[in-house]
Amino acid sequence: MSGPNNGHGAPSATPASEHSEPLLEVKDLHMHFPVYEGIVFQREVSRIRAVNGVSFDLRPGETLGLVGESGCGKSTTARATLQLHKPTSGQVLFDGRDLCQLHGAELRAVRRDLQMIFQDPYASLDPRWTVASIIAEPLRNYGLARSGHELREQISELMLTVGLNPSFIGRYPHEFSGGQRQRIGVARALALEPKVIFCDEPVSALDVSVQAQIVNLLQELQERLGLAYVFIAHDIAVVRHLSHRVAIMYLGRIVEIADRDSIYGETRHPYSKALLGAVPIPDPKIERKRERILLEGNLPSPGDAREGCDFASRCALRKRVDSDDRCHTERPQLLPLAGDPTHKVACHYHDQD
Amino acid sequence: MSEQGAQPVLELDDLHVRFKTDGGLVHAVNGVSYVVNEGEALGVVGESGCGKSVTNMTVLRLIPTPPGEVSSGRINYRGTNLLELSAKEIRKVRGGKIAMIFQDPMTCLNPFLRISKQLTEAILLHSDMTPEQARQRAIEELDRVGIPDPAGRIDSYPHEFSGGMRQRVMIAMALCTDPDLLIADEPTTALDVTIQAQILDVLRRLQAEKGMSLVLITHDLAVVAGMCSRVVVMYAGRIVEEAPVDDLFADPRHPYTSALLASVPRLDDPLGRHLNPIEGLPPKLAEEPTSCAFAPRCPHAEDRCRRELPPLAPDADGRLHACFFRFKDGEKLPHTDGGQA
Amino acid sequence: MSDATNSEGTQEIEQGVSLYADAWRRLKKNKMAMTSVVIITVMGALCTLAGPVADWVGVSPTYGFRWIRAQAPGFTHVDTLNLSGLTVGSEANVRERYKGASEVVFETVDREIKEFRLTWRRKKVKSISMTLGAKPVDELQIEGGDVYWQEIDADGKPIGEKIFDAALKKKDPLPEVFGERERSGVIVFRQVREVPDGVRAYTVKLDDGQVTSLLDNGEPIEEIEIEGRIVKRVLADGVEQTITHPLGTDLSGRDLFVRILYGGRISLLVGLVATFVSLLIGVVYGAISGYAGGRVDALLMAIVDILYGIPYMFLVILLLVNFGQSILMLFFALGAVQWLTMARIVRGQVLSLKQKEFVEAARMSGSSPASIMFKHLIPNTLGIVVVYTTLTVPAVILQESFLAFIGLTVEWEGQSLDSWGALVKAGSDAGLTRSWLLVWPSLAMAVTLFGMNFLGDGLRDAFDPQQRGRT
Repeated sequence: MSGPNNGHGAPSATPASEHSEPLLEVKDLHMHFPVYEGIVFQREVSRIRAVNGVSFDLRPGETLGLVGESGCGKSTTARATLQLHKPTSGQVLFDGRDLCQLHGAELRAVRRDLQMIFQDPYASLDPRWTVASIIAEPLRNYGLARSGHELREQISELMLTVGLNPSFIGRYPHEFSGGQRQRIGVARALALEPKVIFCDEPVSALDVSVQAQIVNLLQELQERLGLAYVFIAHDIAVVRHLSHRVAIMYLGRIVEIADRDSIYGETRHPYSKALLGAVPIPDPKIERKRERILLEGNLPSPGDAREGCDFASRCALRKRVDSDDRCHTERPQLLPLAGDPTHKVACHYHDQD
Repeated sequence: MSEQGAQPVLELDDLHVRFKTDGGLVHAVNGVSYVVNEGEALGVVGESGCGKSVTNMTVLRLIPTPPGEVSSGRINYRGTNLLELSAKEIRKVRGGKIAMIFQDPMTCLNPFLRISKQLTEAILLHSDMTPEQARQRAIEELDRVGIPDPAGRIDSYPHEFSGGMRQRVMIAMALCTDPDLLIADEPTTALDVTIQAQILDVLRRLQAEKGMSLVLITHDLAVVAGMCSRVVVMYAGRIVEEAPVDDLFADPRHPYTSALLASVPRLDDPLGRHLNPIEGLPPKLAEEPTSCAFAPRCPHAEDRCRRELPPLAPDADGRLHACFFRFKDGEKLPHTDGGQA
Repeated sequence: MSDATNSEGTQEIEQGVSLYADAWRRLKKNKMAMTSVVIITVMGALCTLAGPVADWVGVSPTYGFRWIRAQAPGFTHVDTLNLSGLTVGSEANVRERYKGASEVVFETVDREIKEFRLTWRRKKVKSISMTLGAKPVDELQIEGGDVYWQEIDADGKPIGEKIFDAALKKKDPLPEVFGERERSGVIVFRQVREVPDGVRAYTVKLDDGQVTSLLDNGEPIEEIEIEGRIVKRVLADGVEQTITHPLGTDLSGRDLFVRILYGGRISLLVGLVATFVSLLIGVVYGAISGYAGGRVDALLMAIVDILYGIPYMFLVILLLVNFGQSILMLFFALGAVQWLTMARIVRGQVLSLKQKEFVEAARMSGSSPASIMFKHLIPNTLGIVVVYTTLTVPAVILQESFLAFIGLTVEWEGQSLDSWGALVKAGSDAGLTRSWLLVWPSLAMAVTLFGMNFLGDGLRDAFDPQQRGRT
């Protein structure tokens, strides 16, 4: 049942800032985790290639959805971009500087504009700190915290912004529900007035009805404050609801990236199709009629390096059309479609389905 | 497809379950009744805390008592009240005639034992087969759930399988004793969507092959839409609506059901549809509800809703829901017949 | 804004319930743990108040009524104390319990003291004069028995032989019992004899702890020196004073109850301080190791592993023997051993906490690693640290007892500080006939250690992370 218009518009397909300069540019990001063995002299035995050459742009006020299943590297991409793990290689350009080259105080200075909201409402707040301390922490670190009564006002204002009752300011995280804790996390992220917020599965751990509350909140904040989001989730329906553009990841790479309408209306990559096809729709008539592409086999291990396409082992399209085994020998690049340069696909045969 | 006329496989009658906790009594289940027919797939939908898991764990008496207790009600499996069986007798039923699978396969699978041992143990407990026959049977089941190279993999340990495969092994373990009824408690919630599709496909296929009844418990309405023929919606320990699946989605009668449907983003939503969250939080269940538990969050609540408990009563067309009103095309009408107008 | 105005069913208290308060509430429900808290508090209080308790009993921990020897619990006797240095006008050098009185009477055995002065010339007795009498006598018969004569020097101190049998007569040769002497000389002999049923009353008049006058059987004197041994009765303001030893005395006549309390002081102090030392080192070391991770962590933990391999008791003994058996050394030595486990535990906690998102959030908020470690990580390890600490204290006490048992006690200002371990050793040496000497110290130690262990268990349950916070 559609209720009254709450003033939450779904993001238009082309945000006003579409043609402005990108705020954040990630270029060919790689994040590998070495696996060591040895007691005294540790030698590298293998690597976990979590992120393998991810590139994307983010414009002011826009939401980029990052979708994929477990092991695809979306969370790691976010953390590597934000320098929580130092990337193995690649560039992260923000405000004219490459974050990968920054350390210490310089990095801290830039961190103000790039914040994160985390997935687990239980683990993302220090259980021994009050809400007041949690929200005040970023303010204190950057010298923005006033003191006493004025600090309380600062915090209360942030709490109101995210829809929390300010009289709860002295409470501890375990006294709040999951949805409320996420709101606290949002308030903390907003404290420094950032330009970009990475949302790492912010609603996955919440009840369905509460998810909608948080999604609405994020949307509203974006409209009011002009925030840009990188929204990471495995729930594609939620991502679609919030994003202007969507990137689909598989095994550390982006396999398809396009604006919201195209990614659902004009899906090209075989994995994207399988993924979108697997999402159930709450409508029994539609469900009955759907023909799904069921993927066989399992996700290959992120440790191995491969020559060809990562998806080749499970791809139904390859079986049908790849006669000269190109999929196994040549890695497909993320290339734009002929008719739509903003829509890119990494597949040799994507136009043959 | 449900078969009317035959005796139902499972029948819950006015079940009440409560827990003694540090903070007082928690009334987790407050008068739940439903029926599962032969070969039918029933969906039980609700958010966390609505009592759906507790209800179904009570069927197999898996609730620790203390602190839990069944304060009233019956659970009939083909006419036998499961609540009255002795511990020994219920063990025969558990895993034999009624099987259960859970969200986390590691609750069923012992990490220290090979799955061959775990599967054959269940088979041997509930049948007269020899160990060799049991092993053969286990391999068949693994094949049936789609484990590649079952004969080669049967001697592996649980941790050697991926998440989705473990779920399949758990299903195989549940099914290798040929149960009449499978209760699946959030079986795919923790899985990736493509794996979820695979698992649901397995369940659908098995149900068709074996004519088994299925109770699918989940918070995900979309999953229910694709799997079940009838759906029961729970809130605060009670059933608030029960209907055939098509009817439920096309014409939800209870405000909670419609609110739930409205708050979930759909892949095929037209652009510009707003998500309508349900304001507030679910109730704490410290007392048995004496008025409508959803009233504080219901946009249509009236005085009466806060004073009286609406019974689960049929409309003129036989649709069951627990509200003093019903809603058609956005219009609020009194609940006709059955309940009080 | 959905939550701003709705009540959500939670109590509208302004101040939140912290996890500590939550854990304390859970602890209160645990009867065993609360009983332990009471026991430990009582024991701790008693030991701290060992001084006042000793005064109340009327003894001091090191002073032994040697002539009583070991007595069973409940033994009562006259408060026999050595009085010396009591002069008019000075501060009364007596026990606390007497300082408040206005008149203290010491009834002693009455003694008769006789002296005689013997001179001889050319080995012939020349004169015998009774110096405490003045009139010289012509002959003196010295008879045997207990009442001997002892030669004294010019200061009145006894020297030389005791004379038991001799006949002295003027103009007779010097009897042989006197031994080899010069041809001519003078010596003085003294005889002290107890008057049977005789009582001699020394009265000390006090005013606010100051001696105002001293009387000897009514006669004023300047100074009193009495051996405790001869005191028969003590009256303070007319009230007879006795000492009752609630738990008996040891072989040297020292009150056991008071010694247990003083011993408890040592044991508890060692337990607490050594644990505290290990806490400081271990927590910081473990936190740094866990937070740094990688090679640093591997190195730091390797050091811990190596140190673990050293047989710690030998190390402690070596340290004590070589660097002095002072109590500071004991704190250090025992603490140095315990920190290893604490470091491991904290490191493990920090490693698992490091993965938690609130640590990442703190980094995103601009917090420095030090700030994260001290404000986020370490406070979150406090639960397990507290539990482990309450379990380490009894372990340290036991170790110290073991050291005492093998004879390695500590000294302070020249005095041997006897902890419970030392008392238990003394008790076990004393044998089964004097079982109270073993039973009571052991019981005190056992009860305290049990209490601490139960408290540790209770704390562990109270801090159980599974119950923490999930509503």
